[in-house]
Amino acid sequence: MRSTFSIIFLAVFQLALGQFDSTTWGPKKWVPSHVRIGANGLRLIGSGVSEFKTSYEGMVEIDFHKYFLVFEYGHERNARRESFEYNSKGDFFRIGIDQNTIPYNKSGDVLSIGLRYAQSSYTDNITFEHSTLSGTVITQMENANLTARWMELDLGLRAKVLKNLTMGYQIRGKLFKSISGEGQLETFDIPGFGRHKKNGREIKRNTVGFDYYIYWTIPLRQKYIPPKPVEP
Amino acid sequence: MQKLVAGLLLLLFVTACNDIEDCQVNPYNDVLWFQVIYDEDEFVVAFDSIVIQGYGQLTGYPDTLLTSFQYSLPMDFENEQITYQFFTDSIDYFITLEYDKEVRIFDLSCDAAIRYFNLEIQETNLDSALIKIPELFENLNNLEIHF
Repeated sequence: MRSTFSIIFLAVFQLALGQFDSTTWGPKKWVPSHVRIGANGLRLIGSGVSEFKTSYEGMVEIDFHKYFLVFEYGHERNARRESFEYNSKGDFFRIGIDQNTIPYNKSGDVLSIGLRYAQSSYTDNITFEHSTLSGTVITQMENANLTARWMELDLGLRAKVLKNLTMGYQIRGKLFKSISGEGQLETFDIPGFGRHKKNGREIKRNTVGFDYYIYWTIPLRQKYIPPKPVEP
Repeated sequence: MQKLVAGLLLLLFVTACNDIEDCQVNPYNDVLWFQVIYDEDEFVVAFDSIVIQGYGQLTGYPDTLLTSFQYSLPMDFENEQITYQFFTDSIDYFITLEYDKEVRIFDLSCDAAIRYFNLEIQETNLDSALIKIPELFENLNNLEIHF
């Protein structure tokens, strides 16, 4: 699985790199033309709707030619109230690079493919009632210092709505997740990633996420977008 | 390029569509299963009582333990060690086991599940005792006691 995705990454970037003629972009092509800040709208809506989850997330990106350096940061709290009480809360971040696959788009819309490193630092605890040799007791257990790490292969679409206002989707392939710091409680919800297991038995190392962002663009310079080269 | 992006989208959705959870398939036991192995033509194994050290006598055990049956013993969640004492009319036996435990949410619709694993014999005066399966799992036989 790991080697399959490595091959996909290499193939995608190799194909994308081969599509551009760098001489047409002018001498300032690597000078950033904007900083874009964004808020994750789905997390905001979800916090108002969900019975157990509260979360928010922001992001900032800066462009270099047809690439974007992206940093995303968020906080998530899960409070499950079932026959037990399970809580997890913590912060997560992602850092990586997106590549615009439609750089000749005059309106500045972006169809991106990107790679991220993601990390979540969190705590979780459970309170549950169960039978022991002493009788029925209430037990509380906690993991005080958990860290989850994973990689992401992201596909994004960002479309300009107003002059500086952009909205867009982000589909995240979350890959190769690992966890450290687990004690006698097996973690259930990982902030920024989702559930730790897929069916109670099998650990979920890969999953898919979907986000919707609202962005505000701060222009730094006028960006020259050359006409798309005509294929012979 | 657009076809490649579409293909990746499809691949990501396929990998996501495997979240099937079922409370009924919780495989973890909170009792240890054991079997007594001996030659039933030569003698019988009969315990007067079975006691968990620190807690007291267990009830519900037959007078004679048959070699073809599995019997269960409760585990101690509050410790990582348990001592079972087997009293007979001649010799009193004991076995002390060590283990690790873990609490996990098997499914949101189920109670929290307790997994006992890394079962080891710390000390015993039984002639022969053997950990067959070191995890309390799917009612499999964990311990064999040979006479």
